[in-house]
Amino acid sequence: MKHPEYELNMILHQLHNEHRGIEAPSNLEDLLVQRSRLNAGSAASQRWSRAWGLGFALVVIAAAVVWWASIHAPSSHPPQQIVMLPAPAIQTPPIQQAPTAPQTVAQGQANSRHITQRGQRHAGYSTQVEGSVVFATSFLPLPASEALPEPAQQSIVRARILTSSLAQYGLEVPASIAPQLVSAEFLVGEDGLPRAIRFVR
Amino acid sequence: MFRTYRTATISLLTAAFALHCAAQRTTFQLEKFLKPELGVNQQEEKARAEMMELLDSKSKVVQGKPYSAQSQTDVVQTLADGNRIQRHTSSKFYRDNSGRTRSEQTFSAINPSIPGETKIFIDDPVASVAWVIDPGSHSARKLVRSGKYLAEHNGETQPAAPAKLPKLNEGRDIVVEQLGQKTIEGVECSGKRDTITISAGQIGNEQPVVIVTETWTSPAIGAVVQSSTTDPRFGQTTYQLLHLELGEQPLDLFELPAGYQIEGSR
Repeated sequence: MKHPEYELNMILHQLHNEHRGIEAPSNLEDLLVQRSRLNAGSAASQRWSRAWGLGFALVVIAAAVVWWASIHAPSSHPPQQIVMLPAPAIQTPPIQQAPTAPQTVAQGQANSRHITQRGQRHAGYSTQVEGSVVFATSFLPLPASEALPEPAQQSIVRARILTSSLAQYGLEVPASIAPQLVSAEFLVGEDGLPRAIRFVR
Repeated sequence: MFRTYRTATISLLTAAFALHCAAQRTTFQLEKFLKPELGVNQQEEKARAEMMELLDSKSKVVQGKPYSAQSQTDVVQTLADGNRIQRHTSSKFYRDNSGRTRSEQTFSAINPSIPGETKIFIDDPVASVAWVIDPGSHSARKLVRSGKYLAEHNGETQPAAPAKLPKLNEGRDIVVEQLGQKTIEGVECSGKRDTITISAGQIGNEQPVVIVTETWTSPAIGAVVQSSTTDPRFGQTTYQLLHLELGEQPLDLFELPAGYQIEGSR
């Protein structure tokens, strides 16, 4: 019995002998070469298209990320020094007298200057308290106590307050400043109502 | 060209989706990590905000006019929408014949969240000391009064207020009227009315702002017995002495109570 592989080889050999005389047309090679070059050019074009598309998308992504970060990132503006009081150690936001009626920018600036000048006339102080130096500004009269009777007794009360609560005393912190806790000392009359405030550190 | 547009569109959609996911993830992380911290911070801030310390108290030394009284102060502010903000503070005051004083005061006008916290201040010009007493923590702090301080605050030689503040009402139109005499809480009082007018445009106001303050002062005790202030910007404030009793006060009122822990003096 002949081996199956031997029979297969014999059949293939016969086919080879039968098709030995058949040759491809002479221009087939040139056509295939041209077609191959054409396909190669098309593939390169596709690669360039994809590269341009990806590049454009990357630029758009970068722009979107920058835009998103600019919206969600905290403000890069440095904290502003207090404008009404001269003590350099105080890191509190600028405070103005709260206007009770629409106030123009010029009027607001004028008020700020007025307070600044007043603060400069009355310098801040520093004192030694229980081994630590306390820096404080001068007292600033509160607009809310403008018409109250002059107190016969003045108590000094220190408290930690939110800057957003200064509005109840007639002082206003710009809305652009985030609320923060500050140490303040109040001059309080015998009626329990604060007459003046100074900021301490 | 079509393939370029298709690639760009797909990339853009992918980028938008990725950005959206990043935003969601960031929000999620913020909620996850900040929320508990915010809770802690809020508690800490609340505790710190509630800290209120009476440092000192200064007044004229008034001798020969002993009395005791309670006082109450009410501030009512009516907002534009009809809502009302009310604040109430009360205090007790004692003065003996030698000029010693004791005041028990709440400071809810400063921090309404702790209306009940009372601070006691005892001023003893005879012993040249003052005590700041905190009943809440059962602690006290001693202040030593110098001779210079006492001389400056002696009512006979220096009748001026203990500290002069720069006037806020510079440039205001102020009219003072005498209101005569009236008996309040059993003592004769002399009254005056101060009318402060902030002219139109001074603070951006279209119409003049008129602030009226009536003050009734008793020469017998050298103190304000009743006052009321109506300020359209900040509402109405009334102050009233109650249960006024003339006469000498027990000496132990002006001494540090037993059992208080004494902190460092200033």
